Amino acid sequence: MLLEDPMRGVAPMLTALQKLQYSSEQLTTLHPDFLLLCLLAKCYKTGLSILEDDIFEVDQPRDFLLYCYYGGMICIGQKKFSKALELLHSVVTAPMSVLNAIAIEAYKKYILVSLIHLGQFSSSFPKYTSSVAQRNLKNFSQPYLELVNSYCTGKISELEAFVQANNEKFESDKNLGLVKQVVSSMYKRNIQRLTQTYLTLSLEDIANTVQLNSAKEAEMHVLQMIQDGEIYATINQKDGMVRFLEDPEQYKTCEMIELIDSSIQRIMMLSRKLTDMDEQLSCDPLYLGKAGRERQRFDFDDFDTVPSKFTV
Amino acid sequence: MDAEDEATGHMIEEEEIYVNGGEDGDESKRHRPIISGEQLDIEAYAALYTGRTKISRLLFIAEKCGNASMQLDALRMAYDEIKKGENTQLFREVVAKIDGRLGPNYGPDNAWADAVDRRAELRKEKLENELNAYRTNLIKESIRMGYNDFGDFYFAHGQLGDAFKNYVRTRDYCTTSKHIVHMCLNAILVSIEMGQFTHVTSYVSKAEQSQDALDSITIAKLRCTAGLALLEGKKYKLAARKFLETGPDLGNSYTEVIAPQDVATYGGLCALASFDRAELKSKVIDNINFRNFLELVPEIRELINDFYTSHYASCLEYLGNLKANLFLDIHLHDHVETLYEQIRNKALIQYTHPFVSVDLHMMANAFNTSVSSLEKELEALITNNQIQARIDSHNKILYARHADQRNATFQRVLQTGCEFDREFLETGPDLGNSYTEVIAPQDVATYGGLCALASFDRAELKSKVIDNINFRNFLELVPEIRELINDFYTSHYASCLEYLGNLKANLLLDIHLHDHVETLYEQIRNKALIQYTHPFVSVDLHMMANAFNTSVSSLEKELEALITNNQIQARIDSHNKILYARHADQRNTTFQRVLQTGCEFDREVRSMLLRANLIKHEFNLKASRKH
Repeated sequence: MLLEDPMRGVAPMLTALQKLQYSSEQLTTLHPDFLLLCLLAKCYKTGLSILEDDIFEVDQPRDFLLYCYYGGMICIGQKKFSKALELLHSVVTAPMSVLNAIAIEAYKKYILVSLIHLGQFSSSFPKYTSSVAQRNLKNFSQPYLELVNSYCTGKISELEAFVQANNEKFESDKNLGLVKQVVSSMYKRNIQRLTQTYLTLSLEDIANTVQLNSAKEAEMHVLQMIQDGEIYATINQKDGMVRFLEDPEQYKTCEMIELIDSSIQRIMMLSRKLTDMDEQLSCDPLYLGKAGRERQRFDFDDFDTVPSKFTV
Repeated sequence: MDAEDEATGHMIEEEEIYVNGGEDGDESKRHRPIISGEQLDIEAYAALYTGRTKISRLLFIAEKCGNASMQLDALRMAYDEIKKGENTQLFREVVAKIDGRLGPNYGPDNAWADAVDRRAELRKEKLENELNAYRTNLIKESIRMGYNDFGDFYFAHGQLGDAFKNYVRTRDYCTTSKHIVHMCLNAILVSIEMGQFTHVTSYVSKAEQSQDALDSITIAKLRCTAGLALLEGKKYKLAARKFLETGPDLGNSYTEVIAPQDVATYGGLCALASFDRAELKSKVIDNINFRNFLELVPEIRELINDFYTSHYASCLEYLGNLKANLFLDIHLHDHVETLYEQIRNKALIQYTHPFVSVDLHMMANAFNTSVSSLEKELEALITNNQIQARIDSHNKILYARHADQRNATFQRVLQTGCEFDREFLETGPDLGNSYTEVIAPQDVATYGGLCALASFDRAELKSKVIDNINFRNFLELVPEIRELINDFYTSHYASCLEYLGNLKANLLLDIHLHDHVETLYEQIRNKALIQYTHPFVSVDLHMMANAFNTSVSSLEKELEALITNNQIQARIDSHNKILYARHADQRNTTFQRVLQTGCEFDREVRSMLLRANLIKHEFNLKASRKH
């Protein structure tokens, strides 16, 4: 790693990691370092292969945060935005008593990825986020939250103006690339909205509605989206018309059934894990102590027919 | 003479059969071609009936037919008939109507009239004396007979009210159930002549209670009259059932009320208008008893069979031909229009029922109408939810449609929003001018009407506003609002929006309404747009722009907004300027939702397990050096 040739370090690290883990669900100290190497070496794919495994056992907190953060960055590089979102979400909502830099950076990236992938961002934290995070994260990510606001207006020109204005800030966070992706995702979002309303639309009209410069650009965007599978459409070049089609997925194929079946299996396995964990927790002395403390004892309520666990 | 012969020659079906009776007429009728509209042969028609009903019918025909010669014929026969009886009142009326047009033989015959009146006086005195004698003697049977005679006397002289009273008085003196039945039949007869069908129903049920005295003919008579009463009460399904239950022994025994041909006609038409297919087959087509009646009126039999076997063009043609004559029938003429409309609607619904898509050109041929009028009819049926389908106006095809729950839910949500119009609509008419320190009744009408229009769905608009008798009084005070609500309901959007535009300036000056005028107008306009597009699979935007008196591009923008808000399930073909409806594909959306839920659950649980693990290991990041 120190030799400034990260590429050479990737393969041995991978083997070491695999030998060190005693189950594929465990996170070791080596994980984040490995991911860092992959990032520097730009061999994202290898990194991805490690990320595929779900992690349930964690030893060191810092490892976990770094792991998720780097993992998120690798996924962004590979354009696997949903997995990136998951990992970054884990960082943001991880239990912490003190604010740390990793969480802040992760939060900024989380906002951007959520805009790209989902087209929206809700600035409310889920309940299980630590109070520290809830109070402080927003303060450090002001420009990003404003970016969210101008994104939601749906006007490209405003968005671009805002980006221009805050260029240095984004640059210093090394997030400029992501921000540019956010802007281009705006066009995509607008075109997708059009598919809901129109059956056929001319390229001129698309260019006007989405605020592109010309029909040619519109055509290129649409073409790109068709290839990426983000919309279903056909372009009629003679008339300059785009015809939007319905999602051809009929959910009747064997593959779809296999997909559903595997999802069911996976979810069943997860449920079992959940039940196990619940059992373990209820036997845990710490928990029992805390829950028991809140029960009133030797009260005339004790002779109530209502089980005491329902008394607050 | 020749003309007359030809006329009788053309007199196909009904009339000749009536004259000849049964079998010999029948054979030749079997392969009769469809008749062209011809006139009722009054003599043959009148020959079916006896007594007072004959006269009433003849007078009715004279009144309703547009034809002077028919009118004179009818009046002539009425005159002859009356002369055979003793009803001088009716005699004078007929003479007045004839007005000397039929020559001196049919003029006012005062000598005869006076003679009849004198005789009547004498008879009346005699009857009174007899009755008093019986009453003092307290012989029940004789008193009963006395009152009966009185009733007959008054009936013959056209004093129906007195006749009815006397018949009813015999009730106290009836000893056997036969007497009761006799009394009921008389009362029924008089009630029918008077046109009071509530009495008919009550006396029929009274008569039916004494089962033992009823022979089959009486039962048949009672059923007919019950059917007649239900027909008058517009209860077509029940009337049909009663007519169909009438036994064939009715024969010609009840001609002072109804002819067997009438039983067939009324029963057949009511059944066709109100029964569903299964009942039509079991109760009409396979009904052996009713078959005897249907033989008397072969068009009705043909027309029912055509309807059942889906030969709608010929069925509707028979109906059209019969229509003119049915208008002359004293009991049926009020109901002809309604029954015909119902039969036509049922034919349309039955035609479209087995298909997923129907070509409107073929359907127009089958129903012998133009495509545009057919489209209007289908539109009305679809809007009233009697056909679940949508019209592709561009290609002229009707597509069957699944019920769109989501749309219905959105509409219900919109309507739950506006509360205070309900309070207004429930204001009784007694508000009047008693609350002018707050609000005028015109305001109640205006506020209530506009809010209802903006927020109610079609069914509620009809039941709570249009059919609301109390609210109608308020609407009378502001006729524009009433007009505009009616226009909206009957889909005349251009005029409705024009009224709204005119009212707008004034409404902005109203202290309570001015904040809400814009919102309400927008909502009403949106509802109009939604309602317009609702029954169609495809809509040409040019036609729609005309209907709404706006330009295509602004219409397109409005529709786009509505679609984005999910108030219309459709998509715009901007190239050809057509709006296509879009079916919510339930199955696919369900699958998508399932997969999505699975993914979310997956994600949530994994992160939860992770967090639990972290907490369990007492994971707590302390302030440490920054990386």
